[in-house]
Amino acid sequence: MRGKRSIILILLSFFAIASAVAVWGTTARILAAGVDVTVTPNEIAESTTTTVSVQFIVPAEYSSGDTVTLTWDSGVTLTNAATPTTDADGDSTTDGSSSVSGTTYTYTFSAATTQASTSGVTFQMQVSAAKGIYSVSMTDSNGNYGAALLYVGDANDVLVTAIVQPILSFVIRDASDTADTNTCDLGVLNTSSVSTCSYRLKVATNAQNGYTISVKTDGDLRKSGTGDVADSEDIDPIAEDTTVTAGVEGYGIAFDGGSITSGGTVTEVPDFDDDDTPLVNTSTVNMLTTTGGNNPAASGDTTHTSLVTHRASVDADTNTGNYHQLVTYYVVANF
Amino acid sequence: MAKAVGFGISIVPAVYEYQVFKPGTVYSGEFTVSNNTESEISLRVEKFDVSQEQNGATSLKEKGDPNFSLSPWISVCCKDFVLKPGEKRKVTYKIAVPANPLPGGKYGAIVLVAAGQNSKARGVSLREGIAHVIIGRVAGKTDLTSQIDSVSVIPKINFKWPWQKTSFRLKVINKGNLHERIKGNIFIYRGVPTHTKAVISVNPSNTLVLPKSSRVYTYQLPSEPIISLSKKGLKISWDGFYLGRYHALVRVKHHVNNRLVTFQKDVTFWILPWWIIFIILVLLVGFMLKLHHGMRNKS
Repeated sequence: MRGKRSIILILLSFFAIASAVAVWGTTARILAAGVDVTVTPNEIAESTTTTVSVQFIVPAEYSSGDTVTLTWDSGVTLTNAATPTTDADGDSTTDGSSSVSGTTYTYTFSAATTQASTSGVTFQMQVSAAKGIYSVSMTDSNGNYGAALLYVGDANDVLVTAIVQPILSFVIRDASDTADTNTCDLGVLNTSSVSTCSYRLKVATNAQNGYTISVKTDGDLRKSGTGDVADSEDIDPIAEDTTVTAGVEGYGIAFDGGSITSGGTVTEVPDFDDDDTPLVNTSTVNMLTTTGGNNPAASGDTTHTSLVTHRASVDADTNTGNYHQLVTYYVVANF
Repeated sequence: MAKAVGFGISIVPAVYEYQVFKPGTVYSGEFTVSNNTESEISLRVEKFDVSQEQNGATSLKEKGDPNFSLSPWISVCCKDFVLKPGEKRKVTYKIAVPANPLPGGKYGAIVLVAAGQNSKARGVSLREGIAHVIIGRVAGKTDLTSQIDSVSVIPKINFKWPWQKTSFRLKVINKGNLHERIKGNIFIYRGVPTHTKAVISVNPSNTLVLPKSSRVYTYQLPSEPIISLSKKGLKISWDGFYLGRYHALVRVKHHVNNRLVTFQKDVTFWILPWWIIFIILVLLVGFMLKLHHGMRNKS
């Protein structure tokens, strides 16, 4: 009996904690009530002193001696406007004066307003804050209340023309990144094993948005002709989603994109991100793209370079001869 | 390891953006190419149009969308040239804008390809190509219109935090004829928006979304360790501690019919690390067993 009670207690406690976590995350959000308060502009640059206007319409006009209190969240640096508000309702007559203390702005009316209940009242002040969302709450001596949000850190410009000076460097290196190379010799192909040769694509750039590597060939791995030649003249490209297998005629590459020094992501384009991949010769095909710059070591950097391994195999029907192919890699900055 | 200042072939700038192309005008441009190797390099000039993939990858196209194609307007100073070891050279080019071009964005690239080995040599011959991208826009009836197609959080409930990251994904579709640069923030908060826990900048490096393309932006929830060791000693910070339900308020500025507008969407997500739940459960069971044991001793 006691055991059962303990289990029930444990379960109840667990649900209580789960509920507490849920409630913790679902606290009610601010809702402007009473009067609609607006802040103009409602988004400003971070840590930049900006003049903002707080505006609202109240149900009845203010009288001399009434006060309006605007309280900003902590984190906001508040100062009065360069020209402090003296005509809150915009009827071209002075109706009060303002003061600032900490994050509180107080306006005291010295005369009755005429347009507070129609076009509303507007108070100007200067604010500055770090990135974030801040609220300003309004209360007045007549019992009106409301609140509005100010977004700090929003960029102000979108359509910007710019001249950027990113540097892009590219070289093809041997598999251990110790020497430049422009060849990859598969040697003498045989039916009992897969022949391979490897090299590295080494890119350096300060381009913030990274770079893309693409590839194009001048045709099949072939012993004569140009481009896409007859099967008897080439080592057949393997089908996508397969691997080169000993004793079966096939040719493709394995690709390992590596990483980049900036810590951005390196994405191998699908087809190049898994098994062996046939090289197409009809167009330029993307292999890899990054989201950041790269600055590999002068030599021996097998981490921040991309490894390409050509893999070829023949069967008993493959014709003898010298097979060749020209592969061009293109590097272009992302923007 | 010593860092490479430059190796192989280098070009600068890798991207150049013109403010505006006026119809019937010829513009001049240049970039510098360097041979950082110890061998002579023969370079050949190729021209491409440029397009963009959803993940931001730049694609070189021999023939791109004619509405945004720039390569036919480009003429380069030289077809082929040789660079000696360590030599730098300025490559000049002209962009001849036709008298009646289609208004909107234009994108192209000049690519220098190292001639490399004889293509008939045995085995695979390799060549490097490096691109100078040119971005411009033709004045006239331009339409700058984009749409924030979707905003999502992956995963909605993260049980493996901080080992598994929580990501925010924004998909932008550019429906106009001019490139778009979105800007904004993702405000992470709990409860009320003013309880901002973190702010993530959207597109801080001013990337573009090309016309008639879409681009996906992915940002991760910052995950700083609670305890870290620095030169100043042991640092404890709760900035990276998340537990429970949070909001991500996405505010992004973009254009609709050439007018700047603000997109806003609030999405919720949960961080419920299994190890915290496990610790709570263990403590709870321990407490209950102790209570049970005490009750039994009493009776």
